Amino acid sequence: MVKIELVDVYKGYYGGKVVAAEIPYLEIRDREFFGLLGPSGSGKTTTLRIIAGLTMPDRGKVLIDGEDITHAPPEKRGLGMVFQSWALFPHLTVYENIAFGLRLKKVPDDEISRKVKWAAELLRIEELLDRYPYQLSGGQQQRVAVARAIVVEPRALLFDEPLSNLDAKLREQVRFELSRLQKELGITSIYVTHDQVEALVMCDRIAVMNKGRIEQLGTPEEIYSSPATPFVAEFMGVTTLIPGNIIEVLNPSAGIVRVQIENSDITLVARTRVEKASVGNPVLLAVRPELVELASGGEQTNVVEAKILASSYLGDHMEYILGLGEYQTRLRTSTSIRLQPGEKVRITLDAKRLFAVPRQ
Amino acid sequence: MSEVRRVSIWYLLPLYVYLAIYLVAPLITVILGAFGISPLIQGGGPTLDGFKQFFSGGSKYLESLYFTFWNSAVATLIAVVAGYMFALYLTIRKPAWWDKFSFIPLIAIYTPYLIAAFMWWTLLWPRGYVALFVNGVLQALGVIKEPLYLVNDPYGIGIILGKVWYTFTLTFLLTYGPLQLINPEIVEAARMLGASTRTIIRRIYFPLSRYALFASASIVFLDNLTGVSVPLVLGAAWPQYLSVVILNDVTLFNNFLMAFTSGFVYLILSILAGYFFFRFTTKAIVHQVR
Amino acid sequence: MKNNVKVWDYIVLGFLAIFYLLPTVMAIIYALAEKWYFGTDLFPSQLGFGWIQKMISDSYVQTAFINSYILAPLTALVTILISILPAYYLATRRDKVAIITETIVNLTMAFPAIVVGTGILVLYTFLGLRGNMWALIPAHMFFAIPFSLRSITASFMQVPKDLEEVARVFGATRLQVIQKVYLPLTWRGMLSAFIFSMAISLNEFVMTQLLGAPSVKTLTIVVYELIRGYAISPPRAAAVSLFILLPSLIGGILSEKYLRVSLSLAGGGR
Repeated sequence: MVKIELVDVYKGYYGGKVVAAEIPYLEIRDREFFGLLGPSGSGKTTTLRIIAGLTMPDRGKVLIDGEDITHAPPEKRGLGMVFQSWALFPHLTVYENIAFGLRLKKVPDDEISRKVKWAAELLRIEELLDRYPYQLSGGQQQRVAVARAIVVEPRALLFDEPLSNLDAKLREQVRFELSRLQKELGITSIYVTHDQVEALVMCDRIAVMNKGRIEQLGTPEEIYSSPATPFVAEFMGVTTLIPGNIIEVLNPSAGIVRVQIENSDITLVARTRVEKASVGNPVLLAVRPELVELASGGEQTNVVEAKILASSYLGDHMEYILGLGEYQTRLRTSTSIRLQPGEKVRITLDAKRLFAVPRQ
Repeated sequence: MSEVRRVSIWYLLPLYVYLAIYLVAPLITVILGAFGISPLIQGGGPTLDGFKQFFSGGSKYLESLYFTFWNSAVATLIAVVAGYMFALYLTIRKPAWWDKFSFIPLIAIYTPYLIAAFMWWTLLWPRGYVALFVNGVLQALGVIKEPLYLVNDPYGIGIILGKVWYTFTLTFLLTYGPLQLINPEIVEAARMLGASTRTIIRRIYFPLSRYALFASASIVFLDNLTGVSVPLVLGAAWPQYLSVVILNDVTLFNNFLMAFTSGFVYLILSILAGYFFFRFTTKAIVHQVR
Repeated sequence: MKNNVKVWDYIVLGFLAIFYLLPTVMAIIYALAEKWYFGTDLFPSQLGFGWIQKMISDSYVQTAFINSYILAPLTALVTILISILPAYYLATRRDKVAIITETIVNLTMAFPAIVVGTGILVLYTFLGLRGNMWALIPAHMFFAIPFSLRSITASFMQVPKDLEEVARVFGATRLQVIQKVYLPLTWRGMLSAFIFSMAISLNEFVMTQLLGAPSVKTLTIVVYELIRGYAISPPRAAAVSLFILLPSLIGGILSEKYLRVSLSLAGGGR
C-alpha cells in the first residue's frame, strides 16, 4: 500500500511575496494515477519536487504510508522520477542508464541483466540497449527515462511533464502507453502537466492548481463538467464564462437553477453546485462548444439568438465563432451545413450539461 | 548558406607573418644554436658540446631540469586538485556568497606574476606573517624544532605556493564552465535513483568534466614548467628552475651555447606537454558538444 | 544539520578571502610602512605615504611608469588589429586551415617565454633592436595573441550570418562588412581582448628583461631590481608595485563586472 500525504505544506519565496505552494492537505491514494494540473507557476512542479525531496518546504509534512519523510534526502525516499528533459546520463549506454539505480544498490550483475531486460521489454526498447542517448529520438529517450525509473521498483512514480518535449502525435500515443503501463504495474503515480487533455485522459483524479493552491480536486469528469471555480472552468476546455445571477431554483436536490445573464433578458437553465443553489447567487455560465447546437425547432429550453461572426472549414466539420450578445463561443456543425458570417441563427445550449460556476 | 566567394586565405597573412618572425625564426636560432651554430657563440661551428655538458652526470643543468620538472608537477597537482574541488563545490553547493565574492579568486589573474611573487615573498620570508604563523604552529605542536624556510628554500616551497596562487584560479575557471553545462536534472535523476553526493561526483560530474580537467592540468603544468618570474623571486640560489638558469646564462654569464642547449631541451619538454594539452582539449570540446 | 553545512560555506569563503586578499594587502602595507623594524616588530611602527611619494618623484621610476603605460595599450591595440582579419577567417570559414591555425596559435602558449625570448634576442642583436622600446611591442604581443584571437573569433562567431549577407547584397566588400557589421557588434569581445592584452603587457617581465636591456625599463623590471637587484628595498618595491597592481586590479574588477572577461576566455560563461 503506497499512500502519499501532504500536510500543511507551504513553500514561499521572497519573504512570502511569492507563494510557490500552499497545500493544507492532499492525499494520493494507493495505485492511483494522480494528476497535478495547472499553468506554469501554478505550483504543480514545486509540489512534485517537495514530494521528491528536491525542494524543501518551509513548513509542513510529507508522509508515505504514514512515515514522515519530510527531512529525508531524495536518495533515501525510494521514489522514482521521470524528468521533463528526461535527464539521461549522456556518457552511459541505455543499458547502463537503466542499470544505474540497481548498481547503486549493489545488485548482482545477473539480476541487473534480468531486470533491465524486463524494463526494456515493457517499454519496448530492447534493441536500443547498446546505444547512447544522443543516438536516440525524443520518444525513445523518454521511454528509457521511464524504464530507468521503474526498474528499481520504486514505492511511487513521479512524472514532471515528461511529454512536453515530444511532438503532438507522439504525445497522444505515449499517453495511452504510460497509462496502460501504470495500470499494469499498479504503482502509485503523480503526474504533473499543463496539458488538460493529457490529465483528463490519463488520470484517475486531478488536482487543478493555480498560484500555489489547489482550486479543485476530483475525477476528470467532475473537474470538467462541474468546475468549482472560474479558473478551473476556464482552464478546462474551450470555455466562455458568461456572468449571471440565479433567479430561480428548479430542483434543489440536483442543483438545477435558472440563471439570468447580466444586463440581459436572456435566462438559461443550468446545473450548479447543490450547496450554492440559492436565488441571488452570482454565477458564471461555462459555455463550451460541445453544448452548443443549432436549434431544430423542437426544443423548449435554452434557445437563444446568436450571430455568426466567422466560419472555418476544418475538413471533418465546420466551426463557427458565435456572438452571444457581447460574448463569444463556438458552434460546430457537419460540413453539409454552411452558414455565412453575419447570419443570425437560433441555437440551443444543453441544459443538462451547462454548468453555472459559483462566483467568489 | 551560399558561399559564392570564400574568404581569402590572405586574411590569415598578418598572423602568419607575425608567427614567422616571432615564433619560427627565434625557435630556429635556438635550435641551431643548441648545436653550436650561432654568431653569438665564440668559435661557433656545429658541435655537440652543449649537449655533452648538459647531460653529463652531475651537471647543474640536469639537476635543474629535474628540479623544474618535479617542482612543477607538485605545484600542478596541488592547484589542479584544489581548483577542481572548488569548482565542484561551487556547482554542488551553490553557496550564497558566490554572487558577491566571485571576484576574489580572480585577483590572482589580474595580478602580474612578478608582483604576486613579491607579495608572497613578503609573507613567506622568516619574518613574514605566514612564515611566523606556520612555524609557530608547527613548533608549538612539536613537529619541528627549527623554523622552516618557506621561501628561497631548496624544496621550492615558496615557488609552489606562488604558482598555486595563480593556477588554482586558472583550473577553477577552466573546469567550472563545463561543470555548469551539465543538465542539473541529470544530477537530480541520479539522486532520485539513490546516489549520494560522493557517487554523483564519481559517476556524473567527473566523467562529464574529466577532459576539461585534464586539459586544464596540461595548461597549468605547461605554465608552471615554463614560468620565470615566480621561480626567480621565490626560488633559492640553488636548485633553480631551468628558465632561471637560461636567463642567467644569457644575462649574466654570456654563455649562449648552454643557453641555446638548455632552451632546446626545454622546448622538447614543453612540446610534449603541449601535445597532451592539445589532445585533451579537443576531446573536451567533442564531449561537451554531445 | 543545515546550519552545520552553512558554516562550512563560510569557512571556505574565509579561507579563500585570506588566501587571495592577504598577499594584496601585504603590498599595500609594505608600501605604507615608513618605519618597520622587522627584527622585532610584527607591524610597521609608522605608516605614511613616504615611500610612495619618494617613488613617484623618482625620475627612474617615472620613466619606467611611462614606458609601461605606453607599451601596454599599444601592445593591446596592435594585438587586436592583427587579430581582426584572421579572426574573421576563423569565424566564418571552418576548414582544415582554420583548425590548423587555431592549433598553432594555441600551441604558442606551450613554448617557454625564456626560450622564445632568447631566440628573439639573437634576431634583435642582428637588427640592432636591443634596448629599443618600440621593438618590445611585438615581443609583448606574443602571449596576448592567443587570448585575443580566441576572444575575437568567439565574438565574431556570434554575429548572425544574415547580417553579413544583407550587407553584401547591398554592395559592401568584405572589408566593409568587417568594419561596419562585425566590429560594432563585437565591441565587447574586443574590449575584453584589449583589457586582457594590456594586462599581459603590464605583466611582462622576461621579454623586457632580455630585449629591453640595458636602457628600457618598465615598472616590472624596476620592481624586480628592487627585490633582487643591487639595491634591495622591499618598501620601494612595494610602492612601485602598487603602480601596476592597483590599475590592474581595478581594470580587472571593471571588466569582470561588465564584461565577464575571464569566464568568456575560459570558455565557460554562465
